[in-house]
Order: sequence, then structure tokens, then C-alpha cells
Amino acid sequence: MKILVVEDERPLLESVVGFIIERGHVCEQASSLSEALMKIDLYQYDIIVLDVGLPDGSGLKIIPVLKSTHPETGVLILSARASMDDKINGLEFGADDYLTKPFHLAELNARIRAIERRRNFKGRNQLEIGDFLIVQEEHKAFVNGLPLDLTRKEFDLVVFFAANLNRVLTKESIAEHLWGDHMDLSDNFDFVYNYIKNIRKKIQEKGGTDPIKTIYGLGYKFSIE
Amino acid sequence: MRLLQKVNRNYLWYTLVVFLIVGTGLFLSITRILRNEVDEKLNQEYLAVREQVRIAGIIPDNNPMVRVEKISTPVPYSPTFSFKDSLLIEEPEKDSEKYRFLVASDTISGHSYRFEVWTSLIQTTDLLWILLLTVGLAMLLLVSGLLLFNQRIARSVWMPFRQYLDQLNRFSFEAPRKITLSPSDIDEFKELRNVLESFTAQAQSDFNNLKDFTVNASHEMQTPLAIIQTQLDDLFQDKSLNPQQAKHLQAMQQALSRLSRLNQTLILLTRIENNQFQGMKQIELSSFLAEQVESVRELGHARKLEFNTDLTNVVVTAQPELLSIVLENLLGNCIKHANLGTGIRIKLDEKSLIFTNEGLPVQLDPNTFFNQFVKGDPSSGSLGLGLTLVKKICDHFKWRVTYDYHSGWHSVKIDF
Repeated sequence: MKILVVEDERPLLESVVGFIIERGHVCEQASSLSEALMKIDLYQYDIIVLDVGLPDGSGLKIIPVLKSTHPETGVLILSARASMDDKINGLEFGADDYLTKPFHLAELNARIRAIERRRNFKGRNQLEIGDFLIVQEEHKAFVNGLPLDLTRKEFDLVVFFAANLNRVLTKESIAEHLWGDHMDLSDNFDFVYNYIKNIRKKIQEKGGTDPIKTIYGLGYKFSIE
Repeated sequence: MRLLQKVNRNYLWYTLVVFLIVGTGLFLSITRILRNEVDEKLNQEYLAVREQVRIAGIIPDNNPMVRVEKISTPVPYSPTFSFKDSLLIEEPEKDSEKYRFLVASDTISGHSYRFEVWTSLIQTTDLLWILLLTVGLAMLLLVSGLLLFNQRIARSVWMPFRQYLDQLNRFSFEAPRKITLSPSDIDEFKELRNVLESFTAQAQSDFNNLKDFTVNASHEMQTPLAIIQTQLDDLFQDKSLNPQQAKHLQAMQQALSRLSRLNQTLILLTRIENNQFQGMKQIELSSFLAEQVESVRELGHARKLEFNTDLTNVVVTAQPELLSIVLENLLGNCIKHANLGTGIRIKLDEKSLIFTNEGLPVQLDPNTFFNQFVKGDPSSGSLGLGLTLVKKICDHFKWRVTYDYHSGWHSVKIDF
């Protein structure tokens, strides 16, 4: 995929761009509203990751321009304005999703994947990773062709892992992905451990090899090597 | 005590003292004047009677108020002369009546006589009482009239004060407009009005500045936090990390998560306070709640908790995002604090929603239970803002939220 990241904070821009490239996408960057407008005029992108607070104006101004020239481009808003009415505002403007700063790169990746999936709903709606097959629309996952009996959150977690293949996911990022920002469960990461234990058990019951590695002291990693 | 009451009370005391002093003085002086008058009259009568006796040598006996006796004992060289008071009992009514009489003895043409001239004091006593009563009545009328008058005046004079008080009572720092007080033509109130207007304007602007500062500071923090978070995420991917470094990284991640959540919660709290959430809706609470319970059911299973729900269909007016924050927090609390393997009861009826769980007693004052940064276990990673958030949102919805602990059962109740 070709992704444009519009963000004025240099270190943030660099790590987001680096991360997207590492995930195997083509990534370009813009650090101001005018630069972003110029780029979308010249090129076509699959997804734009857009910061709202740019030095020369609100990033939201790009959306109407984009919708008239490249309506198929997906928009993921990044905002420091952690408020729901901003979120609603952004979505009403035509953005696909909204992510509040600070965020985990794994979460950004999951959101980009979700937009990609929604945008190409005719195409790849199934994800194959080694022995695993994930059919998102039906909320089903298979190992060696056998269906896994996952609960909804467990399925969400598997999708989150799959989107961040071979990346270490911290317990914090997993907890936030599953339960959002407002559930104060931070001191109780046994919950995350419990979910992962259950998923492992269900995979092993179907004869699959456990793809979730515990990285001691850091978190978990989904890999099929 | 009301101001007017206080003034009136002092006023009444003063009037009473004045009345007592003036009354006593008046009483004494009038008594004196009247007595002199009576004595003068008695003296004249005595002189007339004596003259009669001297000229005609007759002892008059047609006047019951005059008694003249010839006495054998010779009168000393100079004639005696004195006044006396006496009470006489009058027969049919048995009333006692005050009299005054003059006793004199004199020698006329070689004979000694004793004279008594009497007069009734009834008229003078009556006069005295009438005078006192009149004065008293006048005083009473004056005082009551003044009180009434004062009250009338006070009501109109203090009107601006009452209005100011009323407006101040309804004043809110968060109000978009400045307070405007109606002008008054009384200097003191003019001054008060000026002071109040500038004072409230100042307070309002300070409050708004502080609020803006909080919001801006919180928002400005989000981007640096995001930078730290993404860099940390990258560091976590480093395969050459040794266990010691991993430990440091994890500690940083934990602190960063807390800081991020704290910041977001503070922003949320400020936005609720600023009334920046629109979109109040009619929400069918039982299905809304059931959905929330469903999403945390697995969390509960991790601690072997059973959810017992008793839900009635109730429609409430609320903002969906905020409502879900309330429910998430209360459910999260139950799950975190319930004893392993117990049950969580959720009861919803038309009037209230109650979450109950079995747990260890908390060392918290129920009064500060919903305060910011109050936590049961100070060492826990919890922010102590969850219930504050719940309380703020309930206040926003005009719901009442209360906490109760009773023999092992914690319950949080929301009254709609």
C-alpha cells in the first residue's frame, strides 16, 4: 500500500514513517498542510495518516479536497485533542477512523489494516498466516482448516496479533486495544495473560502450534517461524 | 437575625428606656404640681373658713369637707399648720379613695380652734393617669408607626441588595457572560455593585484562564507523550535487548501508560465540566448495559466471577459515550475488587441502577470515595480517577451516585 503520513512533529513523523515502511508499505511524508495538499494533488495514496493540528491549519481541511479528487483514499486521523466531539467531527468530515495521541504503533497498524480491509472489501478479506486463516467479516479463525472456538475479544486479539506479525506487543498496548482508554485495569495485566492462555489452549486443542511467543519482560509476539 | 430585626430591637430598647425616664420624670413633676395646686386650694379654703369664724364667730357645719372644733388646750404661741394624706373607705362600694387634708389650729378672739379642711384627690389622680396614658399611647403609636414605616422603607431600599444576592446565587464561573446587576440610586449599593461586577468578572476570567491552561497543557502533553510512546514501541522490537534493559523499558512503558491515561482522563474531566459533550439521547439502558456486561464477561471469567443481572427496561436520557464510560468503570471496579470466585450483582429498575460485589472492606471514607486521586491501595497502579469520572458524569446527567459498604458487600448506586 501507499501511505502518506502528515505530521508536523519530526520525531513522531519519523518513527511512524519508519514503522509503516518496516511493515512493508510505501510511505511518504508531509509536515505541513500545504505540503500535504501539494502531495495529494500530485500523487494518489491508499491511506493518509493525518494529524489535525498542523502549523498552517487544521489537517481536517485536506479531507474535502481528497474526497473530491480521490474518494477511494482512506483517512486515519491522529489528534492530540482527545475528545469525542472532535472524533465525531473528524468522522463526519469523512475520515475512516480516529486515533488519539499518544498511541501504540501496533494500534496504528491495526487501524491501518482495518481501513485497508474495509476499503478493499471485495478483495482480501481473508488473512492467511502459516497454518492460520482469519476471516474477518465472519469473525472466524481456523487452524489447519479447523475452526477455532474463540470469543469475540479473543478473536479481536488474534486479529491484533496477526496485524502486527513478528512484532513485540506490550501488555499495555494489548490492554488498550481490547478495553480502550477508560477502563483502568493497568495494575491487573493478569487479564491479558488469561486471554493469551485461553487462545493458546484453543489453538493447541485443534492441533496447531502455538504462534504466540512470550518475550520475557516485554510482552508477546505472534510469529510463525 | 435579620438586619432590620437587629436595628428594631435596639430601637425598641432605646424607646423603652426613654419612655421609662420621661414617664417617671413626668409622673413626679405632675404629681408635684398637682399637689401644690391642691395645697393652695386647701389653704385658701382654710383662710376663708378662719375668716368666717373670726368675723361671725360661727362654726360652719354645712360643708362636710370642713371641720372646725373649739378645743380647750391652748394653741401654742404660733398657729400650727400641716397637710396630710389619707385613705377613706366609702361605704356602699367599699372603695378606698384618696383624700388630702389640712390640719391647723389657731387662736381666734381668745378661743382655740382646730381646723380640718378636706379635699378629694380623685380628680387629680385621674388627671395624672390620663396624662400618662396619653403620653404612653403617643409613644406606642410613634414606635409602631416607625417600625411599620421602617419595614416598608427597608423593603424598597434593600431591594437592590436582594436582587444582587439572588443574581450572585445563580452566578456560575463557567457562565459565558459576565454578571450584570441592575443599577441603584443608593451610593452604598452603587459601590457594592461596582465591586461585585469587577470582582466576579475577575474571578470568571481567572477561572477561564486556568481552565484554558489546563486544557491546553493537557493537549500539548499529548504529542510529546506520543513521541515517547512510538520511540518506546520501536525500542521494544530490538532483538539485542538484554533482560536488564528490558526491565527498564517495561518500567518506562508502565509509567508512560499511567501518565497517558491520567492526561486523557483529566482532559475528559475538564471537557465534562465545560459542558462540551453534546448529543444527549434517549437510551434503552437495559440493552445498553447488557452489551457492556457482555464485553467484560470474559474479564470476569478470568477471576471466576459470575454476573447476576436483574434488568428492567428503562429509558434514560444520556450521552452514549459518557454513559459507556460510567458503566465500564463501575464494571471494571467490580471485576478488580470482587473476591475471587464470587458474584457481581447488577440490578436495574425504573429508579436506580445498583452494582454490588463481595470484597474486602476498603479503608476509605465513604465521603471522599468519589474524590480525585483517592485510592484504596496507594501502591496500586490505579489512578484513583475512575470514580471521580463516574461522579462527574452522573452529575452531568443530573443523577445521584452513592457508595455503600455493608458486611462484606460493596455497592454503588445510581439514582436517576
